[in-house]
Amino acid sequence: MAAEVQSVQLEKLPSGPTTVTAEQKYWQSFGSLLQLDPSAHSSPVTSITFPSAPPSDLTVSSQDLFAVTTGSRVQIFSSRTRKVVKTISRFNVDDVAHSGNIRSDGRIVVAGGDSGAIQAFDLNSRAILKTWKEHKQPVWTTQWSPTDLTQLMSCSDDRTVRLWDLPSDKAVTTFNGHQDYVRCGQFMPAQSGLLVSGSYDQTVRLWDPRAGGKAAMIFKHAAAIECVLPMPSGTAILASADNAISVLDIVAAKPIHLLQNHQKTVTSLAIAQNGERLLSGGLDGMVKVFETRAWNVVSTMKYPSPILSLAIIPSGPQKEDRHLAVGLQSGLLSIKTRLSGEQKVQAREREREMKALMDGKIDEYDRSKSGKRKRGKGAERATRGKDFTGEGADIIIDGNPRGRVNYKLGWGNALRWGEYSRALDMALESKDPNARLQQLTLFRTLQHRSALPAALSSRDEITLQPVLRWLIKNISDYRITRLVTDVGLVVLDLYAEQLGRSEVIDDLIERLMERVNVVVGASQLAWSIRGMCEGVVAAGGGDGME
Amino acid sequence: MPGPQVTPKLKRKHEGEDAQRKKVRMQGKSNAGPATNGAGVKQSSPKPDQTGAKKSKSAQKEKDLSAPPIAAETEDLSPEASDTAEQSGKPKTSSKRSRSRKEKEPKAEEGASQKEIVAKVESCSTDTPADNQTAATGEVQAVSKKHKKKKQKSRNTASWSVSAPSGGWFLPQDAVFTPNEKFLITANAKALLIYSTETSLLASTLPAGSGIISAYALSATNPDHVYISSNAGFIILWDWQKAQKVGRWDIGSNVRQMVSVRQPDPTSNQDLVFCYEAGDRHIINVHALRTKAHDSETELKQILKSKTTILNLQVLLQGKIVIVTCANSVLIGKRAKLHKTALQDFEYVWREFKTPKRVTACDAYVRVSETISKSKDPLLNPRDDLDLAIGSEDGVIYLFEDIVPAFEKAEKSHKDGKKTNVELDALRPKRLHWHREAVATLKWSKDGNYLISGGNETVLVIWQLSTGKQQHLPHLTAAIESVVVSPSGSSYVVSLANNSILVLSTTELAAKTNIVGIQSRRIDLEQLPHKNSNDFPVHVYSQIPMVVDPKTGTQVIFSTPSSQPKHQAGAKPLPEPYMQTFDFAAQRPISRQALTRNLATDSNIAPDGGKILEPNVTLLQISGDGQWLASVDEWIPQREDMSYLEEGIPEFNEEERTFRREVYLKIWRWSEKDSQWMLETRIDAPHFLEDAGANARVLDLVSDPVRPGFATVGEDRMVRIWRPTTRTRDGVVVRGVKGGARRDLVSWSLDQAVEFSRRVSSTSSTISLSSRLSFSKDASVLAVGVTWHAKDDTDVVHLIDTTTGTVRRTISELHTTGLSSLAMLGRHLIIVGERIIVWDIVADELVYSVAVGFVGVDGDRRFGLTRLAVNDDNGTFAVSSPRFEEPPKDQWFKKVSSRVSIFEPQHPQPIWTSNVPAMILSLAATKVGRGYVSLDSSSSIRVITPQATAFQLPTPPREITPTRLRVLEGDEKDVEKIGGSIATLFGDEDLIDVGENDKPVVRAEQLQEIFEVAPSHALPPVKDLFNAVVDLYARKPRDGAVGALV
Repeated sequence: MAAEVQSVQLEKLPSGPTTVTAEQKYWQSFGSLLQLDPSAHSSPVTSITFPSAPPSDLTVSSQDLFAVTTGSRVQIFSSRTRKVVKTISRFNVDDVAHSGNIRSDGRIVVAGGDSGAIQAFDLNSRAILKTWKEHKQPVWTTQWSPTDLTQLMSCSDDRTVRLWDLPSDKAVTTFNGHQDYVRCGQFMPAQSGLLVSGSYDQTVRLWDPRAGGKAAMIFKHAAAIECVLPMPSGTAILASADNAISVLDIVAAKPIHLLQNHQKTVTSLAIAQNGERLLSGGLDGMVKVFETRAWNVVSTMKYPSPILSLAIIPSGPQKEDRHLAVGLQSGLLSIKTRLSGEQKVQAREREREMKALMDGKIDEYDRSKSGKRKRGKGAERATRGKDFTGEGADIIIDGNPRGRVNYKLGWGNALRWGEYSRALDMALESKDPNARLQQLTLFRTLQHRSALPAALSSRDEITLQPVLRWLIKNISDYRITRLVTDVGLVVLDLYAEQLGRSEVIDDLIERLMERVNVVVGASQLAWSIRGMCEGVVAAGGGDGME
Repeated sequence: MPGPQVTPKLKRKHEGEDAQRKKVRMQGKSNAGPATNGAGVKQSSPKPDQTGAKKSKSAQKEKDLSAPPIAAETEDLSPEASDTAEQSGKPKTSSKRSRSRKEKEPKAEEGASQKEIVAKVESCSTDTPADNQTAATGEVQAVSKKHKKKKQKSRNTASWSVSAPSGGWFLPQDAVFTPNEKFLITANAKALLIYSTETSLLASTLPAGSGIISAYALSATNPDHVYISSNAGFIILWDWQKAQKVGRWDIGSNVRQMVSVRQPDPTSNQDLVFCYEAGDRHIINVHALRTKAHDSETELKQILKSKTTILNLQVLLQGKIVIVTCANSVLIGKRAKLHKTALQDFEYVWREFKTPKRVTACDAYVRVSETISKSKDPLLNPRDDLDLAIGSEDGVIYLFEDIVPAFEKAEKSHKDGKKTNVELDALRPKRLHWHREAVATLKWSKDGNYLISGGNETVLVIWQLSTGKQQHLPHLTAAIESVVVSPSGSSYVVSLANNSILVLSTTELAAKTNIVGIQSRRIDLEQLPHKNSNDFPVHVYSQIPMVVDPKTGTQVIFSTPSSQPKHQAGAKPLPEPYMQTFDFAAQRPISRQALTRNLATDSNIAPDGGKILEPNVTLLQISGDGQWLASVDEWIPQREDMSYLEEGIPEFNEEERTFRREVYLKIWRWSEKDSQWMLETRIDAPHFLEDAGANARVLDLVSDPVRPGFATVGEDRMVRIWRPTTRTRDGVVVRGVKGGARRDLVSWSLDQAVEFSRRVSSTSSTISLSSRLSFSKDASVLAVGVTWHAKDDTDVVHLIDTTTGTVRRTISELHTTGLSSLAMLGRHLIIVGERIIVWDIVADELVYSVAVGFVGVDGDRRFGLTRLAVNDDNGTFAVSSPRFEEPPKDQWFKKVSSRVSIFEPQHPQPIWTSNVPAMILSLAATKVGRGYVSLDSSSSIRVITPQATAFQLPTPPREITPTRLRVLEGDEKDVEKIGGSIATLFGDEDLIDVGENDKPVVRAEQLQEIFEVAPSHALPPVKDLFNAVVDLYARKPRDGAVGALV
């Protein structure tokens, strides 16, 4: 019988305006920024590609390379060292290379050009293996088939998409149907053998080579298509047109979503995390990260110049996302790299948070994260139905089971028994990750119970030290100034006469003084700025008011 | 009416007649005619006299008071009120008690019935419009008199009625178990309450009749009989099983405590009642109260007279031992001549001993010595040990074992055998000290091995006397007022200072029964500090936040203090950290919940011995859908705790103290699963004084009537509107399992902030202001009234457009001195301060302004005492105003009551007025019954409903009337009012006819056009046909009508 004893509720301090989510932390963990100008004369970086995973283990694994196309050259970087391995610049002087692409075995690079020629190079010797000049207009996209080592596709301004076989001199299939420049195209993943292309005629077309040269599916958009990207599942295609990204379901043959988060044209799309995240880069210099279940923006990065190309380059046996490479209009290539180790933990954390959020268990997650001790099943059972944390309790019939009043906070127990001084000692000594909030809560509670002087009085040289240290540490926190000041005043009130008796205490008091001086200086500065602002407002806003 | 009337042989005629005369005088005062008529009072006849008398009286009053009242002065004649008045003037010196009172009995009866009739007449007369008119004094400012008279005739003058009060506090007397422990008998001022211990429900109620119950006792001989004494000087014997009166005696004195024992005569089967009767002298009498069923006669014997107040009276062994506890002494009376059992032979030998500290509790236990008791009648055994336990104000319990021989020894040691006052220490008591504060109650267990004590610490302490060990039952949430051990000893009845009674089993101390009353703040005039101390603490009458729960319509929620011990008098109102839900239809408390941190499980005493104060809930509101509750609570450090800032300047100290105020706005969500409000959002410092860096007080809180949202106004001259937002993270809606169901989590945050005054001064924190808010019914307008405490600022009302958050109109032409309430009723803005002002917002003009009838209070402090409630359903508003009656010598006021008036915004005269015999602390409109509900200073709830119909149950679900319709109604009124020109414009007959029948006219040809376009096999699809018909019937009426006319 009688009301149940509840532990003191911890104070909550107002948090800052933004909270960094695990997702943001993850993307911020792409560090060690490397910026370079691969073209050497600031040509825009138009394409960053990396070879797709080899179709089977039998073939030699790609050598962790990626290709960056800028100006009239294609540069091959090592994704291990982030250094240029090879530079292929065997294009005509006035020619502009497009879409350098490494074959999945890492041996052959193919690239298109403004002249309309498609060239295949041997990666080691940089010798031209093959040149196709069938396209009469610039070729914007060339891509190796993910399944067939000899097959590649190309998209050209001559409104055609062509499928090539390496040995043959002629295009295997020509897909006609686009009414305008075809600027982007991709092989659909897996074994489907389908192709997708996007054109300035505002359509995304899906081609099936087996069905001849006609489009299997057409999605009409409101603007020219800049980039298409199939989802790894093969059932959806992402297409960017103007500042919007559309998600097209090719099973249901209809668009599902329209993501309008960019301010300017979206030029590049990339899939990260095995299809769980979509990255988009636009001419507004922003990279946005979407999660691909509900298509919400979860993180954003800003670049100094319009973004033309974007890639998340995986490496290692697990194919984890390693580099975030962004090619800019200004000719800069920005490579950010995520290190393993600690960041892996963060990634796991991020996954957990996202999962909790989607499952509607974010509360539990937050609770477990807030530094409280993990509880076992038994604790869960004991607290079942008690998630109500209103304050205090009325008479309830079942109180705490006999002798099982469980004080989570040691000082909470001391507080209940009126041992205020001991409670304070315990809280100040606590090594708990939440100790700061606990100390704050205790000071507040002591104030509420008129017990602040009682808790602070009759302390000796040793026991007074932690109190003074706490004051020194917290006096600059503007959120709790009033409380810290009160504690300080009580301490000074109680121990003013005892100054000069102990060197340690005097020293601490001096440090407190210094700290106060710093805070006062800062606030004086703020005041002067405020004064200036008021002056400006008074001068400028006077006639606006009445 | 009562059973056999008995003519007792009491010798008290003087006193009785005196009282009777007084009664007559009182009635004569209020009502010239009927009182002297005797029995033949007719309800109809005195009416003309009545109004005449009243007219003259009101005229006279007007001369007396500078501020004329709203309407005729109605003398308060509700029964209980006149009784209290009677009571205080009644008790006379005992020397007058000498005459027999044979004729007295019937007269008293008559008096009572007359009174009732008069009261009825009174209420009738106030309701007649004629009376209202005669009473109307020249207060009307805006409406011309002729017009008003016409209006009044047509006005709905249906009478209103006030229900009997429900709630009230349990008497501070020990509850009584029936011998079979199935029922627990307690009482409040108006009725004896019998609760079933199994269900905790009220089993039956015995009304007190006209008086206030002062004491009750279960008959020792017949467990079905219970004695009830009222302060009118009656003792009534009830059969509570049959709910019948068995006997009724007028003993003409104020009985404070009664104990009933069996008459010691072994052949007798009759009761003796020991009564403690208080007056100028404090007397203990033994009454033999006999009805006609008995052959013996009613008689009385006085056994003790004392100058000091008697705290407690205990009668043991059928009157053989009587123990009387006074403030500083304990008297033990032992009956002499035990063999004589006739009442007149009752003589007691009194022994008194003084105590150094004030005695606060006392209980005695008789240890019957076994050896001799077997052989003889235990009553006559001279060797019984009397153990006595005394609790003192410093928390010590003194335990005397076998006190009588020790007493005698001590007496002998004093040599001069005459002195019977023995010092406490001479008796060498055992000291038991655990309580920090006064021991409020003390009881022996049935077997005499334990003592049970309780007090302010909210801990029940059980002392095992043989070992000296204590067992504690802590955290009872409120101070313990009394403990009673049940007849079988299997349970304890614990009365708590929050107006609740618990029955605990003695074995596992588990609660078996929990009886709760209304726990709201109560104000006892007797407990207020005496007049000479300082200014009258008018703030004890500050408003209790109360709201009607729209989910049920019959439940009110109001804030309550955690504990209100009766001995803890003080001018300082206690903080109110809890709220209670009370169903006024079922007259039953529903639940209680803490709204702030509280001391339910913590020590309530600071290290320096001061009392710790909880935060105080100052404002409460519920959203229109009943899902959200908003509460504002405040806490401010106590003055004593600020000593470290002491600089010798009290103003500085006080200012620093207010800077440390904590203010929280808490938003709670109703959880169906737990039937409880769950905290959803806490907003720290909803209003903030930037310059001082301190939390500003929230002055008013209102709820948006249309969608979830609350508006607050604070000392910082800002109106803030708070709205819920669904919580999202990374774009995903955050869902949780709060409150049982899995649902989207909601945070409340600031939606709009409107600064209504640009006056910004650095000294703003020192100027406090009062401010009130009100939403219009469609939530498009928020009115905020402001009173500046600095004299040079004019008081204004701002109208804020809630969509844009801008001040659209500032009404500064009203002199809203002492603004206390503000409300919007349709197009009218009602402001209550020094005057009741009704302002038409649409026409932007004053409708009327009448003075509030303050009685017996003046100055600024009166403004906080009015209450205003608005009922949208019937377009009325209610105003309650205080009435203080002149004080006796050392108290502030003899009587505090309030007057409730119901107004319509169109007419300056109240359509109904009544007095409530307690100060109304809160007034709210109810949807059910279209009335009002009031909570007053005696913690009782009254329902004011129109049409004099009884409150109906079960209540049907409220019909949702489309707001569009209401607007139309309003428009029609507007047309009527604004002027004849528009009315004539609409006066075209055809149009009006159309208006009456809003259905479109569908002619047969039109239907033919649809169906007969082609032969049946060639008709268009059925869907198209259907659509065509629907189009025909559902088109706009006006178009159709025009078509018809053309």
